[in-house]
Amino acid sequence: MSATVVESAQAGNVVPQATVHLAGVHSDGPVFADGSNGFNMRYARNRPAAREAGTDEIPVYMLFLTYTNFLVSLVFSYIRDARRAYRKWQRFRAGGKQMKVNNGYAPLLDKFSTFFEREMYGRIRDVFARPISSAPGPWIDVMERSGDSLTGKLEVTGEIKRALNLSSYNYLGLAETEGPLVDAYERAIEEFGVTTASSRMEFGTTTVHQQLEQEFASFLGKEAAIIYGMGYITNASSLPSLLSKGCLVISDSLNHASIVVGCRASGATIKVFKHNDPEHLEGVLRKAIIRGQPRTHRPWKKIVIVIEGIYSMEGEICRLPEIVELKKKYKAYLYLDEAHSIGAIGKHGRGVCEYWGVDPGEVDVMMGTFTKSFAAVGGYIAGDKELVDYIRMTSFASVYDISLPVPLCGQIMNVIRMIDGRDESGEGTKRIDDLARNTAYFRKGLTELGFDIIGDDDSPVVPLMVYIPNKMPAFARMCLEEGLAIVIVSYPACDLTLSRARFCVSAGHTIDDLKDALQKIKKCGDACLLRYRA
Amino acid sequence: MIWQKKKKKKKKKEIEECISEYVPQPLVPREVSDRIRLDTEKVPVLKSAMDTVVRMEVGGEERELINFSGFNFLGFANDRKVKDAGISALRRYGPGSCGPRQFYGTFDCHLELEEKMAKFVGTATSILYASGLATQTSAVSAFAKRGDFLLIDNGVRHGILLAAKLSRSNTRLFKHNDMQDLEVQMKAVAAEQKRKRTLTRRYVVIEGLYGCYGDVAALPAIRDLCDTYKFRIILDDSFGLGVLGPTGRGVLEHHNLPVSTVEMVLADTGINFTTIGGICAGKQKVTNHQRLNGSGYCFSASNPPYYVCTGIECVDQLLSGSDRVPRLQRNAREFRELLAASVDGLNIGGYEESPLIHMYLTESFDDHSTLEKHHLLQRIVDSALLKGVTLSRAKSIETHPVEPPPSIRVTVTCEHTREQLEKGAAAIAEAAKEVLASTS
Repeated sequence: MSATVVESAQAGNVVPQATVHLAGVHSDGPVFADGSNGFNMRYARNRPAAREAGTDEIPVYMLFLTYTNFLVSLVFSYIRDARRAYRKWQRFRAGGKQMKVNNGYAPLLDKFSTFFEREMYGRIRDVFARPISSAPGPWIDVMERSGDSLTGKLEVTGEIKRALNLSSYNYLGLAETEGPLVDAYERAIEEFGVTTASSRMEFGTTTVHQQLEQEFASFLGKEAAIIYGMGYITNASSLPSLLSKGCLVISDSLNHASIVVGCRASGATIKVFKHNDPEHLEGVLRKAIIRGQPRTHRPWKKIVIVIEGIYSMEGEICRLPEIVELKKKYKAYLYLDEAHSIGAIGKHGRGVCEYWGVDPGEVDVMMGTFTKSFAAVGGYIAGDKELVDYIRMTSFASVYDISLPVPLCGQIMNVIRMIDGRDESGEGTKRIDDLARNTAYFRKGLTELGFDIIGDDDSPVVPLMVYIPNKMPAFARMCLEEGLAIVIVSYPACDLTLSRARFCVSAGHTIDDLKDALQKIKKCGDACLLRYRA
Repeated sequence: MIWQKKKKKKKKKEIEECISEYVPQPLVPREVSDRIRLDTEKVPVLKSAMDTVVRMEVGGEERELINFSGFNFLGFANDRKVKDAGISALRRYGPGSCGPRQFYGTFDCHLELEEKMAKFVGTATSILYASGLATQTSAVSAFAKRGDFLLIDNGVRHGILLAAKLSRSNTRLFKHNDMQDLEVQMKAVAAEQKRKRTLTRRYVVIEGLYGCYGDVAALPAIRDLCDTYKFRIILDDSFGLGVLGPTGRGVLEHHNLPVSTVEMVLADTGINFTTIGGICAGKQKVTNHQRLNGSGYCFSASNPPYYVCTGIECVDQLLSGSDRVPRLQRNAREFRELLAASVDGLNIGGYEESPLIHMYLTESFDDHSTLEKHHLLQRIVDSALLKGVTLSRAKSIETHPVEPPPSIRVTVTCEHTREQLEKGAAAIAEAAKEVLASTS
């Protein structure tokens, strides 16, 4: 039965309602008026809860193996480190030179704090930061490197390996070198130059910036928007404008580093709630309101809940309706970071609000980036006119950060028009459909093969749990040899026991590509014994 | 027990009352200060590329104006060769990079730009960040932790102050370019550490060419002090690289000092090299450490390859000995002479060859409040706009600990012709005369 479903998705046929059960989603309910099959992942009603990664779900033997693995790596790393230090001391003694003395200065990098990056990360350095020499589309040219991971530089050999790209955030497949978008980009460069070389408040605002802000705000369903040059800086500069000492930030435990930086820079008190757990959030809210500020017990000036749309390491979509209910009940404000979800989910790519059917007016501050689905760069904040004007006036990025160059503004506007359907090419709908189809096919395929996949069924981010850390570099190296470019994630980006490989599906992949990829992943997974649920 | 149940019920009722009585403040305040209002009312809006001549709407009609604003010192923003390099990169790599550096977001052009910038600055290696502000915050935070000392010049721009706050180290500000104050602070730090018998890392953070003042850091004196009291120098040469020194190598070349004087050189490449981002150049161990510990490097998408290739083109031109730098310095000198000769009522500050010229009100306006001075300068800027010249009033944010005095910032580029400089100086002089005469 599963084969039928998969082949139908390939052919793009409408599948009768009976087989919808197999997709594991939309198991009942007349949600689709057009009779389309469960692979139209646009509506989130009646969906089962996402499979979350959690330490309580892992079998005990796996935990034991993971910790033992780390311990053995640690012991060997210490031995290696000690041996290296001893050899260095011997060399100096033999050479008759003095050991390098710091001459009264404190050492710049002390050996203890850099142990991890030297000994443990250093051994598997060839798996990370692999350079490529083509556009980050569905297929990429990975440049091979050689050299001693531990000590020296990894030199580029000049050999190129063509690999299927399962790692770039190219959700709508817009990282292309040809097409009407790229032509428009080229025309914008000719007319407006390369950069504005100035910040928004000084001399970096053009009519194109203003037009983009208006169009984007109406795309999202908000009153106004402001555009920045980089997503990280958007969070780091707008959170300090909104928050100050005496405010409370309740942030999801797995929020991105830029949100943490922004909250810390603001001086507000930070509390954390369990990842994607509205019950725990309610408990934290209640306690916070009752107890007030620490020591003085004065009421908090503002309480802001900060969550993300799609969590990139978990592949989960936030439980927005429940959190919005809580926010209304306890009079808090909601800040939503849609870095990965804007353009990727929702019927028209408008993000989690459209996906859940929540009114965008309920979310006070919507933030996101253009790096992922829009194949551009930059970040935005959207909200009421009063809010956006205030952020524009007071955030330091408006004064000190170079504004987004005009060709990029043009690119973003063209992508919005394409997704919206206003350019009447049908490309936008086609790409969103392709992404949904590919996501469903890939997730289904991996789950059936017996891999441990977590996250929501609708999210194009697909984490494959590995748990045991030393399997990760082996898996990554084998996949590259087979011609698959994948990403592995371990401590400190995620929990110590929850190491994983992460795939990002793109609208640019064909079903043949993905079929082929599934076979190769099965082969490498078998060699590394990763099919835990087979 | 019954009385326990009653107590519990009463407590529950109190809790619900407490929660329902909570009234938060509005998310943003209804009123903003007059200064903020002034800064945001008159934001100039361009209708053309950034160049020596721009098109804007002035007084209801679209006009062409001579541009003395922005940071396009070396004229790369609208340069033909740079645009061509960008277009060929676009056709090869597409518009975006779609990933962070660690996850297939490193392109061969990133590696090339890092190598070339290191060669230009004169260090062993460099690391490229995707945003200028993130460079400063990440580089300083990666090397300064709790217990370390940061002595920062109070004329630096905001990025470094934010970095100091995030790093949680002991931060002290010293008076702008004041060596006595710096020495006093260094002595205090050394004495404190000696008393506590600890030795942590100590840094002095300065800029090469100060964006807020237009003057150059007294690097030789700072170096001597650092040698005596065992401090390391972190240098932010965003404005200096490409502008100071005979070949544009920055403040180190200007003072004829070797690169090893400083621990690392930071630069916002969006200012002089058209790459939206920044670099941190230094020894191998300095840059390697940031590849895992620089938060703006690890947790952010990489620079789009399009901008990296335009940056490579700019650095190539400078490395092969372009005449842009000497032209820029000559234009800066000439424009300063013209302004000094024709403008009355405004003092001109900063180093003589700095293309960043700050003009301040004279002492006769000392009785005016800061806000009134800002209003006055804004009126001069508006009047100059009507006369065909764009200027900008230097802006900063209110939470900056030491705000620089109100000033008008004038930018000279290497592409300005003698005729444009003369017209510009005349227009500024007229505007200043008009506005200041009506005040006094």
